[in-house]
This record gives sequence, C-alpha cells and structure tokens, in this order.
Amino acid sequence: MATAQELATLRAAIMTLLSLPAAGRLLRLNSNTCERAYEAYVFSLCCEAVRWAGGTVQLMGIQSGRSPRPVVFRGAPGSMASRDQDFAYARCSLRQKRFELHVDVEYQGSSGALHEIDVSMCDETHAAAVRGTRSTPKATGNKLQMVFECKFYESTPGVNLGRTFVGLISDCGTLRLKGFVANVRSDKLAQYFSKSSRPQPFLGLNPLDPASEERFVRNVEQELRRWA
Amino acid sequence: MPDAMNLLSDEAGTILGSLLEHLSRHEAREVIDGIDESRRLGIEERMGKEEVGSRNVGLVRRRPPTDLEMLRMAFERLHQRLIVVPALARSLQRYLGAREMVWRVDREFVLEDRLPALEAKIDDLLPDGIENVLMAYEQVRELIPDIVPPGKAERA
Repeated sequence: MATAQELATLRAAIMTLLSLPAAGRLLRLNSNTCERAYEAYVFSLCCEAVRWAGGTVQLMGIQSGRSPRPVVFRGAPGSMASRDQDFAYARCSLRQKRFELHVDVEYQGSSGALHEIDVSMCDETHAAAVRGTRSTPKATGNKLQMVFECKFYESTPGVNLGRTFVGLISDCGTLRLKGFVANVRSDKLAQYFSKSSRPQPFLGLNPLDPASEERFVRNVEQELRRWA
Repeated sequence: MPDAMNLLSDEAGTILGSLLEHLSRHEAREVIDGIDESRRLGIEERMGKEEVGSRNVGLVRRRPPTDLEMLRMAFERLHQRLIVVPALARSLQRYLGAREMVWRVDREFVLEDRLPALEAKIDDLLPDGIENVLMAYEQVRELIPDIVPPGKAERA
C-alpha cells in the first residue's frame, strides 16, 4: 500500500509528464499517422534486409528519381502508378534479381478485387510496366514476392485483422514470405497464426526491442537469399 | 532514486481516473479510445479442466480487467505514443539515411477536410523537447516499475 505522500508524488510525476508540450503533441497524433509510420518502419527494415543479403537499395521518388527529398510516404493506400505526389519506393537488386519495395499500394488479386498491401516486394519489370501504363500491379504470377500486414496496436490486439489478412493472401499467387507484423506481443495472435500455412507472425516488433528487429530482418534476408 | 511503490487496486483506480481526466483535458481522444477498447475486450484467461469436468466446452473465458490491470494497459498505450512512436521516427531516419519525411495522399481521392488526418511530417512523430518526455517518463517508471513499461531499448 502506498502512503498519501507517495500517491501525491506519483500523481505529480504523471502530470509533469503529460503536461510537457512534446507529450501533448504525441498524445494528440491521430492513430492513422502512427499506423503509417509503423508501415514505413517495416519498409525500412525490409530495405535493411536487402543490404544484409548483399543487395543494394536505392530510394526513389516517382517524380524526382533517386534520393528524393523529402521522402514522401503514402498517408493512405493508393495506386503504385500515382504521380500526384512524389511517392517513394525502394529499387533493389540482389545478384540477378531486380525488385522494388513499396508501402501502401493496391494490387489486383486473382479474383479481380483490389487489395491494399501495407508493405510489398514486387518484380521491377512489372512495377515499371504498371507505372508506364498507369495500371495496377498483379498479386499473381510471381509478380508479387512478399507481403507484410503491419499493425500498430493502440488497444489489446484481437484476431480480426489476422483473419482479414489470411483472406487477402488467399487471393494472391504463391508468395515467398507473408508476414503479419505488429508492435505488441499477443498470445491470442500467436496462437491464431500457429496453424500451418498461415502467415508468419512478427509480434512485438519495435525499435525498443533490438532482438525483434534482428529476427525480422534475418527472416527476410534468408528468404531473399533462398530466392536470389 | 525514489522507492518503487506497490499500488492497491483502489489506489490504481484513483490514479487511472486522474490520468484519464488529464488525457481528456488535452484532447487525446484516440488514446482514450484505445484504453476504452482494451477495457471492452477484457482479459482472456484459460480455465482449468477441473472447472468444467467432463463437459465438452471451450476453456478460454473473458473477464473485466481490474483497476491495476487497467492502469497497466493505460501506461502501455502511453508507452506506445510517447516512447515507441518517436523511436520509430529515429529508426526510419537511420535505416533510410534520410532526415526529411512526410506522409501525403493522392488528392484526387481525398476531401480537403480529411487531409489533416492523413498527412503528417516526421517532426510530428519526433517533436522538439522529446528528451524531456523520456526523462519525465523514466521518473514515473521509477515510482511504479511494475506498471510502466521500460522506456529504453531492451538489450538481450
């Protein structure tokens, strides 16, 4: 049991924290911004995995080309071919393979439906054809190699999004890696993804847990090495 | 360093009440929604076989969180916002080798009044004075380390 003095000290410490202007800005951020930042973070780890595998990564802007400044990520899912903003993607090479990493773009599944994929790895020739024709990339025919569903949870994780992701990948072709990535751990989700053929879970992936980052990057790296 | 304290459930309830009041005053609507959602989802726990005997029923049940558990969940949400979000921004800058980053939308598909919810810049995630937030957070954690998640990277 805490004394009245201790409780007052605790309450004052919490109020000091929450009254800081920087804390106020972070607390008022809308959750969409946190979600998009988390997707971009997973994208940046995929870039790191390409480098670990011995490949090269070049950040591109769809309008400005190499090394865009600023780097523009999508604030909402959209078309890979959109030139409305200088949207960024990563052009990668690994041995003979040429591919691209994208954040928040739409793919057409085998059913014909459009799917929003948080982080994806797409064949470079196909992506160039999509940009050239202002069309939509296909999620089938080995055009799409890896997909990641990224979730920045701000409440206790449920399995709903996991179920949705399982449905989404069933409409894609054969994928080398399909991962469900979340900022927090969850026994419920781990259990849900433990069934064979379900996506690989990367739960609790965040910058404060370097072991989780290493596990994720190593997994992607190994899959890239097997492929290339 | 102050001694760590052990809160009783009613003390945790009082602290949680003032925390939520403060968040509400500062219009941290989505943080409060996350905390409310966690309360609604409750705590799942496994039942022992002896509790159900030979009946063929599911062995997971849900119960409402205690005040202590709610306070822990509230600090988990604060941890994500105040510590993890700025860390994401730093990692992005480090891994991509770029300092300036923005989030923009295809304007053809979005109404003008929706833009503030969809567009952002890296400074929003890494505001000036962020070091003070980390220091103040650590001070709270020293008082209730069992409830407040660590603010620094955990090395194995």
